[in-house]
Amino acid sequence: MNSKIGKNLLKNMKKDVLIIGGGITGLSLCWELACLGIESILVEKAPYLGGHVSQFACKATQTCQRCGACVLEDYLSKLSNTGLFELHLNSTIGSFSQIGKKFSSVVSHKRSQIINERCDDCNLCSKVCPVEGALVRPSFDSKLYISNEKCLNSIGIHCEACAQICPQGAIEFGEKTKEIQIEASAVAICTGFTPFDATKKARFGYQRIPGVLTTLELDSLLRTGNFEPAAFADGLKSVAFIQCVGSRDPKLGANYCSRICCGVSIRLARLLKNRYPEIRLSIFYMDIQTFEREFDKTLDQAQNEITFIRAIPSEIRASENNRPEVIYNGDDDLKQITPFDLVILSVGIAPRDPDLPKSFPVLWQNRDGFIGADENDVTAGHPGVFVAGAAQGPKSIADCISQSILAASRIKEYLDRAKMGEKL
Amino acid sequence: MARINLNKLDPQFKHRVADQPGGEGLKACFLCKACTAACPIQPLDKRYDPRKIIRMVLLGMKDEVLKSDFIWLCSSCYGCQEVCPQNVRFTEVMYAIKNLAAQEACMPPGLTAQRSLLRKHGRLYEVGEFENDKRFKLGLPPIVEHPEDYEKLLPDRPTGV
Ligand SMILES: Cc1cc2nc3c(=O)[nH]c(=O)nc-3n(C[C@H](O)[C@H](O)[C@H](O)COP(=O)(O)OP(=O)(O)OC[C@H]3O[C@@H](n4cnc5c(N)ncnc54)[C@H](O)[C@@H]3O)c2cc1C
Ligand code: SF4
Ligand code: SF4
Repeated sequence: MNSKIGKNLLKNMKKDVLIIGGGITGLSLCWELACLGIESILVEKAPYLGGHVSQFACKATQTCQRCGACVLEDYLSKLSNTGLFELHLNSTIGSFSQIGKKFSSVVSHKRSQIINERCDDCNLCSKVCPVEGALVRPSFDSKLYISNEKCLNSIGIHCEACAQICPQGAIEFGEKTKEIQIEASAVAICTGFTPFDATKKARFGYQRIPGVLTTLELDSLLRTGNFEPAAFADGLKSVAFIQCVGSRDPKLGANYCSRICCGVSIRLARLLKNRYPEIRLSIFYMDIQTFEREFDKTLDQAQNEITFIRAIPSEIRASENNRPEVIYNGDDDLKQITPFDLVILSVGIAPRDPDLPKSFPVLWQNRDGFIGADENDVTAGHPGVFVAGAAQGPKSIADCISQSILAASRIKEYLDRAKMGEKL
Repeated sequence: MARINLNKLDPQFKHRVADQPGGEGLKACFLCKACTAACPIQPLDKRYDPRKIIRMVLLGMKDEVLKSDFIWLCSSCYGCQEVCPQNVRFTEVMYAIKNLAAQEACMPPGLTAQRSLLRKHGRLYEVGEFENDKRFKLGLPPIVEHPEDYEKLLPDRPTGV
């Protein structure tokens, strides 16, 4: 490792805080620290910022539904005006060590392979790429990026299909990984979550029955404008949402409420109803959890538009004409087998492997398998290392931001004490 | 709908069921109804509804559960157990309930008869001369009944509701 560092090392940087993960949590933490005059370095694995939130559609009907997705744009524009942080996209933590109270780390930086200035957005590359999701457009009006996780070249398979077709010569391969040596006094882990893998709930037919999607997929289709009711042979007449897929399910290792899914489904359903008033909408639930502010109002409005069915289905199966059929026990105690054109599984928030080097300090794992303490705390289990956002437990955007504010003040406190030479 | 008389509820009942082997999962139930939707018996007889039986046990409706004839309808297909997100293991809970019912002498006549057969012969089907003659002709040794163990296991208590 060391000899490699020597060769490609570009610069040696010193900042107060190393933030790992540039989702809404990492970005808001970066902003809060900047407001306190604390310099940070933000390391993001993906070629773009925003994490999961960058995939969300605006859910406004006639009125704003307060989903929070647009907050991302706010932070991006606020941050672009502050000089107090250094951003590294396409980057991961290569190695990590600690001397006294200083952390030192090597950030490996893979070069983004589409040169933004040359790209004229003709989209030809997406059409020839053999891998789904290797060319990503994180938001509707954003440029295309190559995902270093999915691109064949990054897993050692030679492919230059996109570079060959690009009329602008905007795609470049073979660029060596750059490495940057950095030093920081504190580390914040904002590596986020992974959506629950719905194939684990095998009886719900995800990836087996056509017309069974997740909330994340529906959100993404709506954001990119690819949601096409006309694609259904007889039109899109009925949509069902199934709650708690991968939440409150100790059998599948998720013995917690994901806190966001009730709101997510209700807002998506209301958005569909608003755009396509003829659609019949049903939500299957065990109980509705209302963590959000003024959620009762949203719920009241929703009850006029959506049928709420208090039952978790036992199974979703394919009907004779290959449509999803939901099997459940209805309010009248009758067993129902109801076909829907679309069934949306409201997937929960699952812990994500933060993918940190082996030399990274051992961190606490809480009751639910996330990083840090059980309570809504930002201590990660090692002095100087903090955790915030969905990496610490299931949270909405608003909750991530408020935890970032807490983390920023704790980090400031820590840095101040460290500077005074206090024993930590 | 029948009224529930609060004075007749037994607050200890749920603990008794949960203390039985297999009954442990009872108190984790969220009442989500997945089990009821999976149960093949519920559509045939609405009184037999896994979720409602759990509710009745949690409420302490001891007599209504133990003395009912519907608790014996379970086909032990494990459909409910398979779909339950909370790992309640309802088929096992049903065994716990039925064991308690048997202890309280609440068994349907069919099972009471089976119990006497077991006690008397050590098996559910009596082996008589007819069977042993046949075995003799086939060159097989005769079967001798050993009911002694069953007499110990199933003490002679009055059974039947
Ligand atoms: C289907 C669905 C719909 C939702 N809708 C809403 C909604 O409408 N409103 C709402 O408030 N909330 C919603 N949420 C919740 C919301 O997505 C989360 O609160 C939010 O995304 C969490 O932000 P985060 O930054 O903590 O994590 P993430 O968004 O997961 O971001 C983590 C970032 O860290 C990066 N990263 C991970 N590991 C590393 C590493 N080792 N090195 C470098 N970078 C790394 C990742 O690439 C990613 O960019 C929804 C969640 C789901 C599943
Ligand atoms: S499936 Fe499990 S949690 Fe749901 S009602 Fe049945 S026993 Fe309770
Ligand atoms: S095991 Fe019994 S309660 Fe469970 S689904 Fe089968 S018949 Fe119904």
